[in-house]
Amino acid sequence: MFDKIGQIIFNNEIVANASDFNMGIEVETIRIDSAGRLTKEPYPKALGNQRKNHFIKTDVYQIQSEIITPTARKSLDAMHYLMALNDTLRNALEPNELLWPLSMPPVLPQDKSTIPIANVDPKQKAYYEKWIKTRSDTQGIPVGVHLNVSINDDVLKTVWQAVNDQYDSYADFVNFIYIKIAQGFDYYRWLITYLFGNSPIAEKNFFKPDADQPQHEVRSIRSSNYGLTSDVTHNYRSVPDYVKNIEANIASGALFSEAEYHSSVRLKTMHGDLTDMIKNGTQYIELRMLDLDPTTALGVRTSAIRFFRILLSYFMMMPTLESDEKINLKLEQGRAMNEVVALESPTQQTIYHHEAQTFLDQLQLFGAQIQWGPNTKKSWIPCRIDSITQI
Amino acid sequence: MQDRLDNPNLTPAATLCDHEVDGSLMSYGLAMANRYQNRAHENPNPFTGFEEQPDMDANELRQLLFGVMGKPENYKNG
Repeated sequence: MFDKIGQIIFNNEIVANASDFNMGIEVETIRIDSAGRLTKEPYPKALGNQRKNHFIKTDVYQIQSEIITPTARKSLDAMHYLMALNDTLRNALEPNELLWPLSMPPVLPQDKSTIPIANVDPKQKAYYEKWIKTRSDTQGIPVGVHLNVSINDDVLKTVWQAVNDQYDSYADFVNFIYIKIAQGFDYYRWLITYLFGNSPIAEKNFFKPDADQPQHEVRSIRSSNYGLTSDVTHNYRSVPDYVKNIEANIASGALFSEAEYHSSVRLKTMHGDLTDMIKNGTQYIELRMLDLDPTTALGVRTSAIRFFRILLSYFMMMPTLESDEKINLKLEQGRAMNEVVALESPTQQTIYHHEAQTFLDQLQLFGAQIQWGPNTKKSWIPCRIDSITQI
Repeated sequence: MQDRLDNPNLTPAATLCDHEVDGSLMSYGLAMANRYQNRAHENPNPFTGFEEQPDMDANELRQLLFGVMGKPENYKNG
């Protein structure tokens, strides 16, 4: 069932460590006034200097608040940080301010130039101004949830001891695991859009009256081509190919910088150095596809985080989706499926129901397999995942 | 997740559409925004440490939010 890496994790009884991940959570929201208009208030005074605060920042626009939790060794600990920071942000707002709970913004002013760009340092602000000019006047406004995830060091080191003769370097080995996970999320984004898509309509003034726009409710405007996309090429065949592709897009002028690569799955280093990623290995993966969940004050539920954890383990321990030669084609197909699913009517059965059921069945089987160790009836997993589909 | 696959009416997007009024989610969005804001205001001791120390690092934040022995216990530095 597993690939070599997965089998080593399984045989070495480190499945429990391998089924949780270091995680930081970013949740963007839009500040509004009590009538539902975009706020006119500056960054909340009680949060200090917005250019210095590392954990509650502004995004591209001054109205967008972004909570960035520290990295926690367990994903659910990241949720504890999120709860505390969410409460901190809400209590720092002015009495007439609220946080809009949806990914798509409330009714916007007709003149979008009245929406101020974030008061960040001048270099960053100049970048935002330049970036906005290349986009439609609303493309940068929808908000969502990003998960920044890295694999437990003990897991990587244990596996590395068993496979170090098969890779040129530790960085190559780490990059192989991360690109495998990236491929999995990039391909199955359509399923995540089906299960978690949460931006069915746009309010007044988001689209210009004569602009191309969805003609009915959809699963996720934000996850579709009406959301934030980069008109660039993608390459997830390997980490070097991933890096070279972004560099080629920058060289051709399709991107200003790596930061503008608004793909739903991004490989990262702490300091954003792409070349360093090839030489020293990927440090974490950023998953950017979740819409805000308005049924919770936090914008994301623990059950969603648990589901992502299972997907992360699955993609880490199972064989790659496709051979190196064919993987980019497979991922292109997955992106096309995502576009279809994102623009389906929410109450309609997805045309990919069969594929979705097949994958959920595989996940269920995977969960059952890793629940029990190779030789005993001892359960590895502190948090039972024997019924993944019930999450 | 199986229930969402079996019944698309249970997906988040479909559930959200149930709250549409005249093609808008403004009234739902405002109701939820007010509910969450009121709930946050019930906290008698919200964290206020950023006003004096906006540039605190992750370790300082953890200690101030949760105490030295508090959750999350398995904090990763950096």
